[in-house]
Amino acid sequence: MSMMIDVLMEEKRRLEALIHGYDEQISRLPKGSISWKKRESGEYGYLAYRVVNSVKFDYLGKKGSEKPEMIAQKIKRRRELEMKRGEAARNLKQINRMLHAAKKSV
Amino acid sequence: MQQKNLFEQTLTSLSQHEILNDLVLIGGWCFIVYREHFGNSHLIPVLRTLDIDFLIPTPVKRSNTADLPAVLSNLGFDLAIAYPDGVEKYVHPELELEFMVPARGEAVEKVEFVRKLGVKAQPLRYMSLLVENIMVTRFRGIELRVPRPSVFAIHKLIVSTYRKVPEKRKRDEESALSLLQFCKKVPSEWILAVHTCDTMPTGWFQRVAGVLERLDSVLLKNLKG
Repeated sequence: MSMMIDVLMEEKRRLEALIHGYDEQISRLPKGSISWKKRESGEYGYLAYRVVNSVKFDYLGKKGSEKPEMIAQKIKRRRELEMKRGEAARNLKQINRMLHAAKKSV
Repeated sequence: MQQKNLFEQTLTSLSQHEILNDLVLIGGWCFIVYREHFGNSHLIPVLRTLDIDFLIPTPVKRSNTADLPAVLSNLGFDLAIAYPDGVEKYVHPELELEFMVPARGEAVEKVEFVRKLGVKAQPLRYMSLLVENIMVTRFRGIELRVPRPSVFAIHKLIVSTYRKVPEKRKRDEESALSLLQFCKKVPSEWILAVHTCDTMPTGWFQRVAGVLERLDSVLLKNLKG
């Protein structure tokens, strides 16, 4: 039984380190979403994000230009990392439950 | 948790991209492969950590280059680099994946870039033991290269003597011993085990003997022939 507890503890440490890594990466990426607004001269991107109770729009540039595309990629990456962080956190919760049960039965 | 699914998906994807033939599965997941290979024998332990370790026998024989990082990225793995030594691993909420190569010579770099696969691998000692004793098997229908189990167990005993964390050392020792005890019942594996111990450098065998003297002296006596 103690060998199983060791394996679970190792996985717990791995998941905690993984979550910490995801949090660091996520903190470096922009929050919000890209909002595209149509004008006569084309489509223009704005970074839409929440500040307290309101939504702010930061102008990024015309669709197809470097800045909005770069920010869109970063936001996509943020969402991917947030999903993985969520999965890791759920796994960690499961591991903690298993550890609790395993330690109780020893 | 879905580690077994991700493990199988990883093998399938590597096989579909014709990369799996360049890799040898080593580490804890070998136990589950051996179990299937030997008809689900309960004598083979399956308690393992969740790292997938691959050994890359070098030089890589493929004629073209493969983008292994892209294949892993499509499976949801992200590259994590440990600083300052630059050791790389691929992380996922379910599993982690690392690559190793046999260390060459005395001066051992922390990482070696395997150009034909596009990954950095860790050179480790004693890997030549595994590279020289590979078998091809099928796991869930996927053709896969793994070390011969008797040699895998002996290698694990050697490596266990370097473990600094007592729990990890104990886990390595016990799983290696269980596997070696199983190999005693498979004539071809036992013959290989005796031959391997007989022909390996004395220092290597002393490490094996040191562990077995403590855990199963009868097995050690049989191993010495």
